[in-house]
Amino acid sequence: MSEAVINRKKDRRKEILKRYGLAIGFVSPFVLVFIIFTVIPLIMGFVISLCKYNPYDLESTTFIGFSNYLMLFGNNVLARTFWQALGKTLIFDVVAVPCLIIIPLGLAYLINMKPPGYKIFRAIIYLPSVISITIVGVLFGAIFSDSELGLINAWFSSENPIPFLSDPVLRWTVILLASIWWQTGTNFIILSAALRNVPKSLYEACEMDGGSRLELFIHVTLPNIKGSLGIVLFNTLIGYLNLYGQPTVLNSAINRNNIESPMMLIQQWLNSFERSSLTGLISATAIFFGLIVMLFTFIERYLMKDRKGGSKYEIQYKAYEA
Amino acid sequence: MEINFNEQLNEYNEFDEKRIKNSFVSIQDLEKIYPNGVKAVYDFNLDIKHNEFIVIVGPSGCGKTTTLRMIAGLEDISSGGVFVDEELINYKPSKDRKMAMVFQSYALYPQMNVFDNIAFPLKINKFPKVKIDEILKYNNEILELFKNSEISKIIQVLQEIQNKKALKLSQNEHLMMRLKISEGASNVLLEMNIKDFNNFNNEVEAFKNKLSNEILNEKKYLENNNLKVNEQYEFIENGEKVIVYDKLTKNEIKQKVFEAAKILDLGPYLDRLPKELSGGQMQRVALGRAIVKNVPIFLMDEPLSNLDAKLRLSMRSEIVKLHNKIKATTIYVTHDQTEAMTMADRIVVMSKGFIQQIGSPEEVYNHPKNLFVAKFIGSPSINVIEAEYDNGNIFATNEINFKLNEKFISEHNEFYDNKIKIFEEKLENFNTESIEFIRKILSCVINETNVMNFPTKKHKHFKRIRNLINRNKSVEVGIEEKIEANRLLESLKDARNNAHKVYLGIRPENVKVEKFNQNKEYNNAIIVKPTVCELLGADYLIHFDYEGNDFVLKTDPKCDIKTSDLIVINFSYEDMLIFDSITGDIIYE
Amino acid sequence: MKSNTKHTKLSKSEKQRLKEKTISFILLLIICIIWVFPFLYMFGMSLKTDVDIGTNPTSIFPSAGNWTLEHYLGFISMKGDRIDDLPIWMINSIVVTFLSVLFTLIVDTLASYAFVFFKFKGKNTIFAILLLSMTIPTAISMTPMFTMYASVGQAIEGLANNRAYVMMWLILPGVANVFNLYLMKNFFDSIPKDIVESARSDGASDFKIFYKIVLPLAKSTLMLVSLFAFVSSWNDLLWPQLILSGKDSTFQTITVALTGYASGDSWEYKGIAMATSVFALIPILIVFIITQNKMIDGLATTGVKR
Repeated sequence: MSEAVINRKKDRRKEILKRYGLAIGFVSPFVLVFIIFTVIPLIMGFVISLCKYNPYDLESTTFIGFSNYLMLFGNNVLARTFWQALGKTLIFDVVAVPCLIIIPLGLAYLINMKPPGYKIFRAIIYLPSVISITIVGVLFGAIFSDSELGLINAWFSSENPIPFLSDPVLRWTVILLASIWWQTGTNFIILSAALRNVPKSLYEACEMDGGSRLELFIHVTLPNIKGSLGIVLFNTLIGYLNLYGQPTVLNSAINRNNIESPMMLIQQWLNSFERSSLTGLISATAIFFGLIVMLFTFIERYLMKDRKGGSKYEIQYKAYEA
Repeated sequence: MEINFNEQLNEYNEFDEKRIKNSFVSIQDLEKIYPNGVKAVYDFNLDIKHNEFIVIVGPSGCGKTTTLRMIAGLEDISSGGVFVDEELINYKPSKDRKMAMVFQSYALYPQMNVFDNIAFPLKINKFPKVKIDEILKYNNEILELFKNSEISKIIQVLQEIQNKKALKLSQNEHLMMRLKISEGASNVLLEMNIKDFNNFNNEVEAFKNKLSNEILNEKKYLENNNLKVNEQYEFIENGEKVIVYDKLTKNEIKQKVFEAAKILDLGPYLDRLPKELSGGQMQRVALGRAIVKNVPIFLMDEPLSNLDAKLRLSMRSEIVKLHNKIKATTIYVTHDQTEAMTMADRIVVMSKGFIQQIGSPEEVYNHPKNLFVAKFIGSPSINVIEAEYDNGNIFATNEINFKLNEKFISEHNEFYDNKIKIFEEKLENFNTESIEFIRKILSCVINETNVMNFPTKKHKHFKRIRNLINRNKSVEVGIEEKIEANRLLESLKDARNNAHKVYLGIRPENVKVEKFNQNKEYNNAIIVKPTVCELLGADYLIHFDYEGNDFVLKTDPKCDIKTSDLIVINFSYEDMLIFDSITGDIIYE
Repeated sequence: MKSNTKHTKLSKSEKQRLKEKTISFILLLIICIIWVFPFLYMFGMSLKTDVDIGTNPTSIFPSAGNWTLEHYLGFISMKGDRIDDLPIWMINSIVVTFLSVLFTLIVDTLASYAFVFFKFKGKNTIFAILLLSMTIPTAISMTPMFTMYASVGQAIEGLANNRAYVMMWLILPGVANVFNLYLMKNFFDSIPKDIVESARSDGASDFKIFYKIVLPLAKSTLMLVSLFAFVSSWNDLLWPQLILSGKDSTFQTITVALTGYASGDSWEYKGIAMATSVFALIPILIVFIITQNKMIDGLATTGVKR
């Protein structure tokens, strides 16, 4: 090959390198971090779950297949605690998730009437969403405290202070109230934006068709915020299946060490040095729980999907024409 | 909310009864003032007859959509009244106004398919029906059926409906179609549970007896409770049929929707969602939704603006065809004067909130009342030349001048005398009316420097609340109008007696053109080279510059003129329109 | 003929609108007062003496003459009665959060830009995989990440208690956030490609285009991403609590540290706990007040589909 050709090849290679070099340069930090902190852990997690593993004693690693997973269905401490915690969380979620959608929706509806000062109202409702759960815990712990110094108990100064945080049902109620106060803001903002984006002409058309206020809401408002409702439902569902912060910070001496949700289980067991030989088991539990969460999300996505119509009317119309 | 009837009656007295009685829709002195003081519609008056196709046309912001929305009930009426069929509808909610509206954005419900979209108004409303005694009517119908038809056929049909899945229609519809009975009767027939088709005759007898018994019981019941029915089994009270409001049955709804779908050719699309439809199809669905309501008035808000050019043409004729078929009174709003000219029985031209002219397309085109209308209507637009009027002589340029006869001179003087009188009257009694009068004059003036910007105050929160409570603060700025009025009056007086400016208007098709022929003699003709020549297929537009103005003329494509040719222009003075330069009104044609 | 009827009474729908606004105003007012209440309580408590707390539990604000700054002063003076190590916790939180935001911004913006504006093989597949990874719950990766952290810390001498090592594990996992990628991709998509192409044909290098043209346009989206990164890093409880347990208390972030005071008991420390909470809130509140509108608008648009 002549020198000119070789030079051209070199130049082209340089150019390609230059072209792609920048792209690679841009993407690589992300991909690097992603691989180290997301991909590798994922693979590792799966592998660990199939072994008996102790991070502090790596030589003792042995492969034991799926027996870790089977433990979850056996009669042992782990299984019982896990399923109990899952049950408690699910029951709570059945109450909490609808609250966290309907209340923000109602507030969004109110704020869209744009009363004077609505911007301030908006900021106030959203404010709790940016503070951490521990502060929420401090606050609600003090207000709903068991002792007679707690605000609520002090107001209704009766003989026996109400054990807000000790009694199981009351405690979950306090957790519910705290959750609502804490997280209504985010959903509220998203839903209020969605409400504003409903085309006004649709409301007018429905009015002209004879729709009452309720019918306007059902036929115009709801269908047109379906997308945002789906997102809100998705986020809230995931957040509350992974319930962790609220039960951790809202407790009293009696139930401080109770495990109320699967995430708490995983967290606590991981934390304890005595259980470090059970790391394989914990990993299996985490993966199993993760799969349950994924199942829920897939169901939710499927339910919220747009349906395509069939062709029943077309057929009937043809019959009518005949 | 309860309407104060006394107040309503009082308002009636301000309206013209004759107009209300003689027209189907009478719009009187309709006005719209926004809470921040801006007045969008002034003094809108229009009487519409049955089946008329009215087009309200004007540039953006002229108030046409606001007017339409006031008629529809989507905006509050600040003052004035709208009467439909001699009834005042100002305070009625939209659905009670006997109107259907087609929106510019179609406003289809995105989650429903075409069928449900069209069926929606039928599903959520109750309709007046004559109350009939169902037992008597339908039982008798079935008994008749058994008497008159062949049993074998009935057996066959009843066997057909046993296999629900294979049926294309519902069981009811199948019976109705095959046996030619009504929906109620088919419901009765379905009550007959045939256990054994071989034993049919006995079962039929038993069923017939059951029906007859029911009829007897019903008759006794009616007697005991003193209720009367006529031969069609309709309830009669005090000599009149009893009307109840009830929801339509599924079949009735289906019938109506299919009817509408047939007219609009939407059959194949009934199951589709709006996002799967093209613009034209969506438009037709919107029309379908309006048709199915069976109301006498259609309102359309720029329905064709979102369509592409070709589709617009075809939908235009579709709408007109529809109008002729359904015979509904239509009020149509657009900014496209072509649509107005081609579709309307009468056109209402609006500008800046004022009506400029109302008339048939022919009237508005050939006899425009002022310069605005002349310029707005017609494509390409009319050519306007400044000229000087001096006692009957019109002089624009050396080539364009002519003398007018006595008749015109006297008309001219009369015109200005009238105007001066009106202005003087208004100035004497300078009130809100006068202010609005001045604004109206200015609304059609083409000279931009003359147009005043009426200041709208920016009210901060406090004042906005105050304005909500006492509106009508629109007329605080009267001073500028007064100055303007005086200035106009002076100009008018000057024009009456001295030489003054006028505008000459000539339509492109009235400009005569021929190729320059060196051998011909041209007296006082304009000889120019065209700047642009546009071939539109059947028409040929030639643009040329003259005295600093751009002119357009329309001629036959066969004339074979190119931009390199010299052309000779001749204005025919008979076709010229002469406009006053001060108010813009037409003086002479 | 012309009528000058001035309708000073309101028509039906205007009355309705007025009614709507008043009802919503009243309702929202009541709700917002309840909403703000916990904050007032916290602030008031932080100014009460411990004695006052014990004797006047129902009053939100301290009784006359008993206002005190003793809880706050504790932080500054390093003496007297204070919750130990508060200043260090604050510093920890600030450092961790600041670095988180910084790294997140850099890494995510660069990557997102590359995905939108560069062409390279496998771009779409990689992006699809990344999006898919959003569906995997965090629970699954928690255990292995922890064991990685523990094992590596164990393996290398002294690493386990090395401050930098622990910080790194606090910051880095959250940096490669696919949701941010998605947000920024949406924004970059909305930039008309013509601008980039005309700059390229003018001879600008890719990096210049990024730095001088696209980045300035992206300011508001970048701010949004920073805000969310800031809030989520500052408030994070789950992962830091996991890592920091068993370590020296000087390693803790303020969010983790406060969990000890969150219970309904320990009323002797309530005043201090409240004051600490106020302190912990200050950075967030500052950020919130300054950027409140942008934050809210930005959040609103995440729900809107284009």
